Amino acid sequence: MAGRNILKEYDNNYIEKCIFDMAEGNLDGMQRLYEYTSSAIYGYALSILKDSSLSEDIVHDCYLSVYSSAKQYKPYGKALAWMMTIVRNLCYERLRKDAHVLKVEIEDWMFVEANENLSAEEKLTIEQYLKILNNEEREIVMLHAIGGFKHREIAKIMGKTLTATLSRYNRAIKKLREQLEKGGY
Amino acid sequence: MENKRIEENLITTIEAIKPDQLKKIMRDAKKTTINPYVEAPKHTYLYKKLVPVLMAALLVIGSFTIYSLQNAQTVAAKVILEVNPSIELQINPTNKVVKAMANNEDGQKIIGDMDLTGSDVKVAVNALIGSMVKNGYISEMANSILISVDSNNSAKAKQLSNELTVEVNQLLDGTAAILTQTLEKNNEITLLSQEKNISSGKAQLIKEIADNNPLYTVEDLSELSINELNLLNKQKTTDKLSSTGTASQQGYIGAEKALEIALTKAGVAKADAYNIEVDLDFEHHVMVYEVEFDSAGFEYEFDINATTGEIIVFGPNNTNTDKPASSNSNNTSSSSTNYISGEEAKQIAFAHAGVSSSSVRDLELDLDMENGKMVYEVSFESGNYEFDYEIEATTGAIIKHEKEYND
Repeated sequence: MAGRNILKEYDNNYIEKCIFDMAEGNLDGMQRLYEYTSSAIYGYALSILKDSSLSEDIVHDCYLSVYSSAKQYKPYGKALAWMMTIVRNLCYERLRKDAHVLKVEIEDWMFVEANENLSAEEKLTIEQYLKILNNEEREIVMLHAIGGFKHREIAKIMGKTLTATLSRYNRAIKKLREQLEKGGY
Repeated sequence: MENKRIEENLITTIEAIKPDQLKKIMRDAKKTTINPYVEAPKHTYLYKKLVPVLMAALLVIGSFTIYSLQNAQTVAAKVILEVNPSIELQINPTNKVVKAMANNEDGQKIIGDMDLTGSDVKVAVNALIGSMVKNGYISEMANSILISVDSNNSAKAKQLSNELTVEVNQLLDGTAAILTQTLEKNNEITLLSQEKNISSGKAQLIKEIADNNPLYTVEDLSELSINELNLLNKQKTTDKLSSTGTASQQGYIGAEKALEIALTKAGVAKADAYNIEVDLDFEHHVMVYEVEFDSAGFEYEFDINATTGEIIVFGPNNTNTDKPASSNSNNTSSSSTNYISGEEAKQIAFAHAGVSSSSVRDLELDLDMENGKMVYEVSFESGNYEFDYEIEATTGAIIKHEKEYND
C-alpha cells in the first residue's frame, strides 16, 4: 500500500532550479522536476480529461513543452502554477481537437477498480470524484489537494473569481464527504 | 470525515495509478530543442537631456526645414505614443515626420500649436514627451508610456522602437516605465480599436495582456490607463512586448496599507500572520490589492480596492456564472463595511457550540454568497465532534448549524 501523503506544499525554489537547469540543456533538471511534480501534473490532467491514457499523453507533452520553453520562463508567482497552465491549455486543446472522438462520455474509473494498491476507501473516493463532480469541481478539488494551491491561485489558473472557486470547492468536497459517509467511512 | 482525508485519498490514488513516463520523456527531450530566449533591448544612460532645451531646439528645426525630396512625403512607418494622450506620428523613409495626429482630446492638448512636420522622429518624440511631463500626464503617480511602431519592414520597426525606447528613457532619466511593441496586422486588434475608440497600439497591448492572463477580458482592460495596464502586465517582457522600468503605484494606497486594512478586518496581529502575499490586480472592474496570509490555521484572502482601501468581498464579474439574482449589475462592488469580521463569526460559532478556541482543530472559515446573502461558513472539529456553521455576515445570526460525531 502506498504510503499516506500529507498534503504537500511544493517548494517553489526547487522547481525553479529544475527549470533553470533545463534551460541550460541539463536533463538532470528534467528528471528532478518529473520526480517532484509528475503526480500533480498527471492528477490535474486526469481531472480535466477523465481518461488515464489521454492524461498520460498530456503529461509527456507537458514536460517536453516545459523543457523547450524553459528559457522563456520568468520567475513570477509560482512555477507550478505556470506548469498547470500549460497542462490546462494542452488538455483543452486536446478536447477541442478530439471533440468528435470524445463525444461519448468517458467513464473510465473502472481502471482504478483493479488496482490492488488501493484501499476500498481510496477506490470509492476516486470513483465518486470522477462520477459525481462536474468538470470545474474536479479541477478545483485536484488543484487544491495534489497541487497544494490556495483558492486564489486556483482562481488564476482557471480564470475564475475567488468567490466562485471557493464556493465550488466547498460544494464539491461536501458532495464527496456525503458519498463517503454513505459508504461507511 | 475530514476534508483533508478526502484529499489525501485522492493524492495516494493518483500516486498509485500514475504511469512512470520518465524514461520516455527523457528520451524525447534529447530530440527536443530549447527555444532561445528573446531578449529585451538594453539601455545605456549616457547623458541627461533637458526637456525645455529640446522643445526649443525643435521649434528652430521645425521652422527651417524645407522639403525638396519627393519621398519626404512618403509614409514608411507609424509611431504611436500613448500615455493617456495618444499621438500618432507618420514618418518617411529618412525618419522625418510627415504628419502628426492626435488620437484623442488629450493628444490634441499635447500637440497644441507645435508643428512637428519635417522634424526627425526622435526630436518629435522628445518634444511630445516634454509636453506630457509639463502638462502633468507623466508624473511620479503615473509614469508608464506605450511606444508602438508600425512598419512593413519589421527589422526597421524593431530598430526604431528600440531607439525610441532608449531615447525616452534617457530623456526621463530612467524614471519612466516604458512598454514597447511593434504593431502587427490583426483583424481582432483592428476591431477592438474601432469598437473601443482606442489606438491600435493600446488595443494590441490589451490583447497581449488578456492573452497572457485568462482572468482578464479585453472588454474590462479597455477601461484602463496605460499605467494600470503596465501594472497588470506581470509577464513584463514577452516576445511581442518589451518592458523597462517599473510602473508607479503611487496613485494607490500601497501594499503596506492594504495589508494593514486586511489584518485589522481579520482581527489578526501582524506578528501572527505568515505567508503574507500582497499583489496588485484588476477585479470587480477596479484595481485591487489581493491580500492573503495564514494565521492560526486559517487561510485569509481579501480583495481591497487599491484606490479607496474599501474591502471588496464580492463583485459581479463577466465570467462569473454564480452572479446572484439580487445583485444590481450597475453596482460593481459591494462593500463589507457592514459585515461582522471573520473573528467575530468564529466566536459566535464557538460560543454556540460551547467549545473553547484552544480545543478547536481543522478550522476553516470562508465568506461566501448564498441565496443572495453573504454568509460565513465556519467548520471545525473539537473533541470527537465536527461542527459546521453558516452565519449571516450582516447580522451575525446563525442560519444553519450541524454537529456530527466523528470517531
